[in-house]
Amino acid sequence: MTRKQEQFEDSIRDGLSRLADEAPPGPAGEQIVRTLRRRRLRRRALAGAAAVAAAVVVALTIPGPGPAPRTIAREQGDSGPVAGTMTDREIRQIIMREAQAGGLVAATEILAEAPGSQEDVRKMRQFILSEYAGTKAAQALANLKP
Amino acid sequence: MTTPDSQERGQDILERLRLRDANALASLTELYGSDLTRACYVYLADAHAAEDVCQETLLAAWKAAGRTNGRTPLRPWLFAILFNQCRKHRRSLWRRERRELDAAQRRAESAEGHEDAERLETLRHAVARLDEALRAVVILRYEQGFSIADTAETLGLPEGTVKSRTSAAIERLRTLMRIPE
Repeated sequence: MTRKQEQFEDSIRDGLSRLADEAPPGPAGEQIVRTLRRRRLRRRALAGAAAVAAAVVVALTIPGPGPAPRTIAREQGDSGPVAGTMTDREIRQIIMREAQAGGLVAATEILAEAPGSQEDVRKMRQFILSEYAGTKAAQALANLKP
Repeated sequence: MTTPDSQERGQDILERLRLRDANALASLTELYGSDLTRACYVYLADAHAAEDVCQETLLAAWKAAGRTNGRTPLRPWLFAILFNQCRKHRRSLWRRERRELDAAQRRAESAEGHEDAERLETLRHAVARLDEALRAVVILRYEQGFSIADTAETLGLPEGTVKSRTSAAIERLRTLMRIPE
């Protein structure tokens, strides 16, 4: 490398360093962690809102109990179709219960982000596990560590 | 410049990031936030964009940490994310590029008479006009002081390509700055 070339590269190095000195200070660690938490909260709030919206849609679209119960037929080996009957109302209740449990779990996750919410979160978990036992959301919650 | 100490600290931070420790994200920001913002500012020539892109880079690093392993070198990995975010930003704002160049030109013209400031503006203008591939090499090698090997790791290129791009970038800057050989 010639002397002139070295000088030019040094001037580039120096110039870039001076340009970079005009840059704003980097973000603070606390600020980034706050942003991360805010985004997580927003994502969970969206998930919770989606669960609630789904529950509303289900409630609006599934028809109320009609005069004739719908029959769900299941094949059971060679013994022929055995009628297991489930009314529309029962189907609706199951779906509503699942949606409600899902919404409550999402709400609990949001609550868990707030500082000092451990006791409330514990109560919410207990409530979901006892009142919505058997739902998918309650099962998932039971598998999570507190 | 990477010292063995900061390298060790970096690997510890990366390990904790992989374990989803939010304090590690704070440590990463304290350790590299300023370097990332500086490099980003030189690359984009826009202070607000540099702040935003730096923040997005750190959050993207948090997300991507799970895909690293114990051998991933933190600094090249982080700067690779930075340049991806810079390109993403550029793609969304490509129309602004023309305006930025014009602004750089105007700044260069207004700095006439102040030789030192003029030289700096000339460099700013030249860097803005470099191809993005060359610009990234110049920033890593000359502003951040990366070695050839770390630059190659960051940009996912063979070392020979980094060397040839470095030479090409220097030649191009010389031409753009109208500096005779």
